[in-house]
Amino acid sequence: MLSARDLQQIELKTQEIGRMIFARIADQKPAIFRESWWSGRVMDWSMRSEQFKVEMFRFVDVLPCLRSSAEVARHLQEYLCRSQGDFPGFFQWGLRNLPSASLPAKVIARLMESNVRKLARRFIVGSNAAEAALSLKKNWKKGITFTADLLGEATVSEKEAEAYQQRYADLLRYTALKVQNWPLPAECPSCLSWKKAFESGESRVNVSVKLSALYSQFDPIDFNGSLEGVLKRLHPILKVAHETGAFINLDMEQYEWKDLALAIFRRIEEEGSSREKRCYGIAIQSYLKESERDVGELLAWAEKFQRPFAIRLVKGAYWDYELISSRQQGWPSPVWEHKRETDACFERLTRLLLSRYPLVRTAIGSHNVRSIAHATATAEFLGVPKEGFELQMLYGMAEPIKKTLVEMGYLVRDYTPIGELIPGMGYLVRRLLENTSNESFLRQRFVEHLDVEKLLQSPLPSGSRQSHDRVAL
Amino acid sequence: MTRVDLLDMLLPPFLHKESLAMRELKPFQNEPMTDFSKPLNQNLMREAIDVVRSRFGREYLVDIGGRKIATGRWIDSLNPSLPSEKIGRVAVAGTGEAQQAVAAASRAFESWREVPPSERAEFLLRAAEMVRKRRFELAALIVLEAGKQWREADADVAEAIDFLEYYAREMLRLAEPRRMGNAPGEVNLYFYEPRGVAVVISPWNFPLAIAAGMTSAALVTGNTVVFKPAEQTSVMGAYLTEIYRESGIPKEAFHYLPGIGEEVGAYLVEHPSVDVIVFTGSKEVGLQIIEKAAMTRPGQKNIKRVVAEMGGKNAIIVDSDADLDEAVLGTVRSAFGYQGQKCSACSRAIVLEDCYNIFVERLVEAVKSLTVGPADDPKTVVGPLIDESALRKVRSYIGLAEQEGTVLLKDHRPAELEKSGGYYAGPTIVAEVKPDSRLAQEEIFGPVLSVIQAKNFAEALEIAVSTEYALTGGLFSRSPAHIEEAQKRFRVGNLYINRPITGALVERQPFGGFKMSGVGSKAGGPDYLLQFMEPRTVTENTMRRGFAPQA
Repeated sequence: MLSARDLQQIELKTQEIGRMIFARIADQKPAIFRESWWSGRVMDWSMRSEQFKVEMFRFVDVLPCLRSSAEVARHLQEYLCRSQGDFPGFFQWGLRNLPSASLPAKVIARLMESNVRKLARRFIVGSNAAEAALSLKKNWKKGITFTADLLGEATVSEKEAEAYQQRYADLLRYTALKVQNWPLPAECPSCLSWKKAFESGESRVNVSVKLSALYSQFDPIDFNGSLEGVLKRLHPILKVAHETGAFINLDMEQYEWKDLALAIFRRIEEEGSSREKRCYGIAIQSYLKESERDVGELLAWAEKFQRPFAIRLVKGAYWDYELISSRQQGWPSPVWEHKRETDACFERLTRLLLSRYPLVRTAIGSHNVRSIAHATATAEFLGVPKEGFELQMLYGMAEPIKKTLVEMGYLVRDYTPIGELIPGMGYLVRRLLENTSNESFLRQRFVEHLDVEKLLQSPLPSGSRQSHDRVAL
Repeated sequence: MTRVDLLDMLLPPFLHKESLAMRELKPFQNEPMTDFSKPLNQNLMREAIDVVRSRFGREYLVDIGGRKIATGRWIDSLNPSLPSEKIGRVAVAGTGEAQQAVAAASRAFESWREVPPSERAEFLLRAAEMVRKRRFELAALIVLEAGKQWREADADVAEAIDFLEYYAREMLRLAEPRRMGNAPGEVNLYFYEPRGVAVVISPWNFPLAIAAGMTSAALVTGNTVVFKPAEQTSVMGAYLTEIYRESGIPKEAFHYLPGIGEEVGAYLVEHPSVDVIVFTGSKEVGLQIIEKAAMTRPGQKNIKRVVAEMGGKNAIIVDSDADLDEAVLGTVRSAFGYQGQKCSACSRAIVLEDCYNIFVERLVEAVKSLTVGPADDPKTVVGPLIDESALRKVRSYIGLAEQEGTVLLKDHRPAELEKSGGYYAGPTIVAEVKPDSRLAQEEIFGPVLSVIQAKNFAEALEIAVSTEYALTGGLFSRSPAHIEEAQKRFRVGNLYINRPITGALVERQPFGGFKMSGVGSKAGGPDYLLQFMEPRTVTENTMRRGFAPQA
């Protein structure tokens, strides 16, 4: 159990590392805020006007499925040119009074489409594995590895589930082939840590799987049926992973499906007990009130089996959805109400998980310098080597932070979605919302320019009950 | 002397305001659905199903004022998933019993109407609490007697609780007499009074919710009730009666009269001492009731008021810019939830030609993947139809489908279900259906979905409102202008945008339609109780000898 004095030490180290990171970042800005032309203005206005943001992001969401420029122009007009919106003339492009099928309108529409496509490209690494490979390799040479994820439509039928199964298998085979020869440049500080990691058995190929994509009747009301339904499609994927030496991470989606996902994870770990290598991991969302209990149970189970596995610790990407859904249903909210509670839980879980190295390999999934600094400070305090844990971020976000961490020798991995534009829009809109939200760390730092001291503050005052670890380490 | 005291002196006792219940009652909130992702709830449901099974085979008698009557004739209530299982047998009331019930209800009216509204509301709140306590048991009975899936059955029970809680509060609100105008020297009071004897004819598809809704509305407004539940779910009718008895409602105010619609229902509708008829069911029966009720008969004092909710041929429009994930899932849910046996169910999907092919392809595959099976299995998404005659009717429409369109999926279900003898009709999807064909106009009340193509949005709207019904409708679109247009021109009682079109919640989505979908106002809404009451105005000249109290 970490004592109060230990926690103080970690806090001091956190502040130190945090300040160092900020100093190194200096004036660099993430590309999404740097955009001089269109995207920059979209982001800018989205942060100034809630109404504009709603209309703009809804427009972006529907754009890829529109089949003609006239349709694009019409939707642009409906979303951004309606009388009640007080939107900048810039975005209306004089469209307000043009017939949507006219030539000027179509030209504007095409321009808009290409802008949105560019914006999407920022966050989606390619529409298929081959396209993605180029960008992934570029990243690799900068010392950033990947965990690839497939974007797609919701799986509404067994036919679609089968298609997904195939896509995952293909992705594994393709990337495994490509990645073998990718070099890690010697002059990159984190590459030394990566080399050590690979030598000790960590995989070069890492793929994240969405379980709900693998079974169309996925429903916790039919717990066993859903478990078996997913496993039927997951087993062949795991077989390919095993053949290619790839690592499989299970994504965590809605709260409703969490217990099913954890059960599936335990099952595949138990089934793979003959293997010594670390093969599987699962994501844990710190915005869930149940996560500490879940991790405690997972660790207790892991101690019994002594099977190495990985956990990707994230804060959680569906907060609004969980809050709204639970309120509509009249159920207690499964997520913390305040962001600082999520952040505090994240730090408690960071300490808990890192203390279990090497049984558990932890990936810290956050763009928040405070959370990252705290994780590195904790690792240092607990004696976890740099190659023993990872810092994961989303492709296309927080570039200056990633660069700095690589320079400091930490392992950095990008979560890289691969997929077509239409299904990718949901992902894009969520990223835009994230970056423009008031609570976004990136916004607070790079747009609002909140000062370093405030940004590095502990999520909860140190005297409070929650700042102490509840689960025994 | 204050104004209030003076009014108190002048007003009859039953108009006293400020009931205790009204002051302490929390505002209405919908009863949460059961979270079936929790193993605890899954176990409770399984146990409840076992418990209800253990009661199979019991007898349920006619109940007039608390007096149980066996009539010598019986209806068997069977489990639609497995008809060899008999839920129980229910005594069939004949015209003799009906006559007794109406007479008793008539006599009881004089005292029931005098019970203060706050007390009547209190009975409803007590009944709600009892339903809450027996939630899983009642849901289990719905699963076994009506063939509903777990979640749908649970929602039925939650809705019943909602009606009871909501109408109790509504009555408290409406019980306050209103002071009209503000002329000095004159007091004009506007208030409501019950009508008399209410006959409630409830359907099998929401055997608890709609039965509770209609009966509680009649009771809380001061009417006495003769309750005639659907034959297929008469055991649930008996359970509801038991709950009312336990809640303390005077026995003579409520009578349970299970029986055959054509026989005892027709008798009740024509009876001169019946003042209100509340009905939910098919258009054909509804229109017959309206016709019969319109005739005044010797000895009849009041012109009968009929509230009838009758049916729909509801359409979902899928716009070319719709989110297809949501549109497909929403249409599947709306069309095949409870096997399409809801008046709110989607039976037509009107799809814009731009996304027609891809939508239909995904739709068919999605429906093929649904689990068809017995209602008591949590895995089941599509259960059985209610009875043999429903199965025959749906089968004949499936036959018609082959003539009127291109059948893309026909009666899709696993072969092994045959041996259960359950009333299974698997999902059927028909494309290239013409908007004026029988398949696109007549209510089928089963898992048969017609898909119609539209060239543009205007055409889609036209097709959507081209049936004789106007109950529910839906639109999946991401065009703000189309959404606005639909609000204006997609004229149905309950229009849903970018979500499924079933599952209306009390207070949040007051439910009901017009044209041939019904007469009378929306259940679970602020006008519903008014239908059960007569407004009265009392004007008093308060000036005596040139002096009037300060108003």
